[in-house]
Amino acid sequence: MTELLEIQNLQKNYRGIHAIKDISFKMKEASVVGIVGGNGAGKSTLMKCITGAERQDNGIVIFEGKELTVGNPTHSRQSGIEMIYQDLNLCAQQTVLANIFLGRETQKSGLPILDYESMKNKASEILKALNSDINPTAIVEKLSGGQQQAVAIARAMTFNPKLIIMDEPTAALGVKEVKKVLSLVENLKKQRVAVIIISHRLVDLFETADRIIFMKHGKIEKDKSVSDISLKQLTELLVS
Amino acid sequence: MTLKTSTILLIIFLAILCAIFSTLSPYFLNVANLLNILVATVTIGILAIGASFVIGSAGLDLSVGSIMALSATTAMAIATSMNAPWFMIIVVCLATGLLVGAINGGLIGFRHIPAFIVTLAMLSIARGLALLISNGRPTYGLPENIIFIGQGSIFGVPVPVLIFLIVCLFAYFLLSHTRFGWHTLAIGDNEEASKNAGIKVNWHKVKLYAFSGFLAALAGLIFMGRVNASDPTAGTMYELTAITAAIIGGTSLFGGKASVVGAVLGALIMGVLQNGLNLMSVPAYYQQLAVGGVLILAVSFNSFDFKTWWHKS
Repeated sequence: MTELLEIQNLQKNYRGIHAIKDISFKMKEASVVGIVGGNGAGKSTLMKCITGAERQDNGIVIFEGKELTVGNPTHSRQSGIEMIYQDLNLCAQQTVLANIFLGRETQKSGLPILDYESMKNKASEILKALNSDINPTAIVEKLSGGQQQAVAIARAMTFNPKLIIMDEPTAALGVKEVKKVLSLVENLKKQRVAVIIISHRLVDLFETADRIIFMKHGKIEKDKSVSDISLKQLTELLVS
Repeated sequence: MTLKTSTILLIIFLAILCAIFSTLSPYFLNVANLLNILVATVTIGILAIGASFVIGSAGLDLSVGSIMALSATTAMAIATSMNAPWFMIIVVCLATGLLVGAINGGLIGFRHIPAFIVTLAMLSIARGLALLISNGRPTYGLPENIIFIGQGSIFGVPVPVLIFLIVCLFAYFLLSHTRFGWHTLAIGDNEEASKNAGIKVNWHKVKLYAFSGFLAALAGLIFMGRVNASDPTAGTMYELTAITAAIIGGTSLFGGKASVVGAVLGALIMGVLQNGLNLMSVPAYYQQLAVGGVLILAVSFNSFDFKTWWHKS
């Protein structure tokens, strides 16, 4: 597997406070990396720098061998990086397909009329690839938490991403729903999409991630393969 | 409850209302009276369609009644002073509504002033301007073609009703089958998500309020033709009736949900109610009470989850 993402000496300060200090790590394509850490560890700031929502003060982000210099979310998206926030950013009262194609609705050729059938078919295809049986015409607020997560992933997939960053994807879900989301992550991996999961649910990370990065006070304290660290050790690190 | 179920419930509600009035008044079901209801509903119906779009985007437009009056008086003032041809009255009238609506949208979208404040201010400004332009007096003596828009008929169908039908079809198509409609509801549902998806929310609001202003001007044009005068006090309090009709029709006050068919049915319910009460010679004070009561009743009826109730029982 080749390197997909490379972070070199990343630093970000907010009014003199070091949110992240000299962070470096690499990530291979189609791999899953879990990032854990307490509040203020710098996880969110790191992700914002990767997605271009924030511009780092020092250091570089290299994606597919090219440095991301523009530093805005649109550029990162065009490069193949997608972020799914904890609140999923969905329009709850609209249909699944309206959410999947939001802002990029397909129109009939040469006419300002929506091509409903084509969008519906494409949405079905994407959901099927994710092993999800959600009806594209269903209203999002009527779906379970896990299904809503699937819609958010399906929307991200329409941008043909190489890397999806998921912020606390299982935080508000029940056991069954968590299983569904973890299986979605597995599916992404099969489709050669790399995933970064920020999560407080360590068990979930052990089920899906290849590697776990533990952050504290803006630094990477541990960067281990899941086979080299136990749940107990990670829990101890978190509570220490 | 899906919008389709709520539409059926609205039709049932309207049918019940018609059944009640037809038993109470022998004149209610006369063709002439039914046409009268339709013509009287046109103005509120057009405003209610605009209100559905705006409220569906989690916005509000309190200025439509005043825009109605301002558009008509401006058009008439220009036509009389410049001796302009009749079609210029239409152009100026519609352009005024479009412009005033776009100003509303600009202030809401780009200056981020709450829609309630902007349109409340515009309600006052537009009414004031209409009174200033017309010296507070109605202008009579409209060209025949303008009167035809309000009073004429084609193959027995009143022209206002034909215009209303075209507006309904266009608005239905716009809401359900175009990006504009989908983006309107998406913005009302989750503005942040819409921004993140690349929708130019600020510009969309300008277009949305311009559309509402345009429909208000169209309602003003029809109203002007119907009464054969441009009246600076026309449309007073119409905004509230239009909002009521839109809400009865299932448009969510919190945004994200709107229905053109619902808005039309809402306007028809209001029209039938007003007509029926007039036929029964109910004093105006009681009519106000009835309108308020029907609003609460229709919204409760509309939001009641019949499917769950049916399955439980």
